[in-house]
Amino acid sequence: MESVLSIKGLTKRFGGLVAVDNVDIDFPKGVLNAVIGPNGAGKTTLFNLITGVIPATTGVITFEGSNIAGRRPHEIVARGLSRTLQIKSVFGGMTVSDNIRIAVFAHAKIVSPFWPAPSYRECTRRVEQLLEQTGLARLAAMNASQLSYGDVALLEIGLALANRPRLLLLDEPICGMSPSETEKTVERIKQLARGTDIILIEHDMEVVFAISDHITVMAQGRLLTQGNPKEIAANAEVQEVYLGAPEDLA
Amino acid sequence: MTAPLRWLVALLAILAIGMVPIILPALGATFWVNVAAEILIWSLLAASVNLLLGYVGLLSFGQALYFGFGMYGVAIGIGQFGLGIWSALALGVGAATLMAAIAGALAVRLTWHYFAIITVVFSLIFYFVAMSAKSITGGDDGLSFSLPPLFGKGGPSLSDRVTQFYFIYTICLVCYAAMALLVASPLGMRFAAVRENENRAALIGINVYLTRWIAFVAAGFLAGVGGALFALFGRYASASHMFYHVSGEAVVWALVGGIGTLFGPLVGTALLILFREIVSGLWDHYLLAVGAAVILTVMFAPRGIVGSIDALLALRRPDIGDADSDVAR
Amino acid sequence: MDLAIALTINGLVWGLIVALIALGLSIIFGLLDIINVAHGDFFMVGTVLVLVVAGSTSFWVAVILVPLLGFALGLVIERLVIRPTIDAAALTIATSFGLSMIMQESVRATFGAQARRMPMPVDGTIRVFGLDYDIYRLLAAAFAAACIAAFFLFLSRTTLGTWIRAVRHDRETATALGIPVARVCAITFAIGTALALLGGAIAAPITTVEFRTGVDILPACFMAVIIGGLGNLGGTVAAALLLAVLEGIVSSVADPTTARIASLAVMSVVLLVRPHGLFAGATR
Repeated sequence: MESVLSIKGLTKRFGGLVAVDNVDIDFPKGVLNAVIGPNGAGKTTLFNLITGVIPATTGVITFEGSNIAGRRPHEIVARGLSRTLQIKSVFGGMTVSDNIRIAVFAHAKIVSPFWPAPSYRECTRRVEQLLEQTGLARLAAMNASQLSYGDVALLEIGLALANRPRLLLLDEPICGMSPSETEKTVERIKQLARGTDIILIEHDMEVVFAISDHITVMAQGRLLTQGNPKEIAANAEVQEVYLGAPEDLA
Repeated sequence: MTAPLRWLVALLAILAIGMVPIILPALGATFWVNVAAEILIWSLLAASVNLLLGYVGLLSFGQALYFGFGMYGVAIGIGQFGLGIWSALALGVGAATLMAAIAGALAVRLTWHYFAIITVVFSLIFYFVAMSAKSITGGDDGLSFSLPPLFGKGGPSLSDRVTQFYFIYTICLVCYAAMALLVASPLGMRFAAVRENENRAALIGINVYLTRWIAFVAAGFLAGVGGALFALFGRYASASHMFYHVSGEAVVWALVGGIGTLFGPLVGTALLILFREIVSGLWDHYLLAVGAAVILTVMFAPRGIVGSIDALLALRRPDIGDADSDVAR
Repeated sequence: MDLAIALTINGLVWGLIVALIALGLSIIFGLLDIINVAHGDFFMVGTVLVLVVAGSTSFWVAVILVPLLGFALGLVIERLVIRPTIDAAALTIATSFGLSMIMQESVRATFGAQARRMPMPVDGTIRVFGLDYDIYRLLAAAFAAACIAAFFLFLSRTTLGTWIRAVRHDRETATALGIPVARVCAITFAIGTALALLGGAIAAPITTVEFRTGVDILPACFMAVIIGGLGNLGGTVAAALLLAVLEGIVSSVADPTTARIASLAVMSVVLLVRPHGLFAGATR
């Protein structure tokens, strides 16, 4: 199967601590991927390495034919790879629609200092489209700092979608959400997965097994195993690793 | 404030200021026309601080450096090279902008504590250079020069108080208009994104370093224009105006007026300079009051005068978070 | 050559005094995270106070009394001005600027703008490296060195000193351990202020006493703190000495202004290349 993201020999050392240890992972294209593992397995570090937030000690990350390891975050985004953050973070001082608008402008590489922002009709249309897609249209004029946690998560996804990513990394998208918010978000993710390749970090096993097609298991900075949900559920090693692991966070 | 109300207030302000050289002399207050011109000039320095602090979130304590480049560009241009007014202006503003581009490329790599410190360090270095290179800069005593004609012989001259005022007024108007456009533009939104959340900004594809640099250059440009106008206004340039105290005062003016607002710098500068003019005649130690004003402003009205008014008005409107007003703030 | 030696010794004397003041700046910066541009003015107030107090008693009484006054002043300022504005991080620099204005103007209002000189409390010179050198200067250097040593002892040996180091290292853990963080911050600010005034008291006989002396000493202090490394107290002292000697040597071949420019250039380079200071990793 073709890979959307291919990782070879990726290692990250923080002084004496090896957070990611010589990892080789291929994420297949066209399926919803999930990465699971106990705390400290190196999942978020992996995401940080992929998106350029931290530099890799060694290794190659291939996306659409080129190595993105070591590139700066905004360059990686420009190549069509977006992510959301575990601790949800948006532009608090601005309205929801302005949040999305900035992302759209950034993608369209519009930097003009002269014409007022709303006058860019194409972009305005795209903003409306994204607001629809994330279900935030009715909140467009609200200040982002006043949003509920669930809506902040949706806004984050909206920001990540603005650059029409070919690969979307979602870092614990339902972390800290109420059951109804969880349901809403999971629906959105399923819809998104039809059009975009997704890799998801998640602790909630119910959600993971319900929506993902392909699961990657990490533990202690290394790849444990990969496979479809049925294979993973039946895997003895995975069960062992999780028997000692903390309960679901959801 | 809603957009139409904003426009109205802005228009009224522009007209009112424009009437100054006509109304004030009629009231027997001709001296204050010059004060008004001075306020406009210094407000540009405050505006340059405001652009960096309010819109991109960087505190520069060294904008007097670019003011100084603008000032000396004009003074040396006219005094040593015999340039005309327009070429001297171009030289001053160009030098200031170029210096900002170079300094910015270095400074913007640092995070805010170190950024603030390095802006002071840069301005101190050039202050000392200016002080010691007496033959070029006149050191502390300064350089004076006489004004060439504005548009060729026999036309209006800047030595005429009214012409001078309108010259400064027009240039300031252009600068403020440019700032207003900038803030509402996509680039302005980019500034806001970097200020609000630089990590998120990087993650949506914004080059944070480049964005900050652009803002720094724009701020240097504004300060340079202020310096150039200052030289033309006073027909002299002095290194003492490059000292960090001057930068500090600009920060104070911007703060008191309102960081992150368009008119804040103007209001703050006007208030404090008028205060100085009025109170210093009566009380020698008005600086005590200015210092106290700064501290009180930070304690009780950190959004400054214009910012606080904005906030009050926003609270009284039922629909908070008007899309327009958040962008064109 | 003689001039070079004299300037170097002068450099050391001033270096020690600056180190003392810079230590005050460093602990305030390290603990409270504020850029206090009024710190130089505390030094200036020290010089003024010592002149006043020594007028009615003696210099030696003044040197003890003035830092105590400084401590009290620091406590008051911390409570009235610093604490209420501490949340507005970017704005505390403006607050300190306002403070600076107030202090300079208060001194100018009370004592006038005229620069004054204070007579040296100990007359006479001593032969050093073939030059006649003021005894007081050497005394001042020795005293400053002793105070610096005492300060380090205080930090490492006393409970309060340990608390200060703890809060500087990790504020949250310190709170969890039951250390009264707010009070520690207040006392730290007061100590920092006291150190500046102490520096002023020692320096008064060898500098001019007027309301602007703070402005000259501030860059030197900041340079020491930055080049030495934020939070690195030993580095601050080392950097202060290094810079003072460097400036002294450069002054002997060029002029003081060039020396100052050279130090500032070094500081810029350090900021850009190793913002954590030249001695980072040594003490921390």
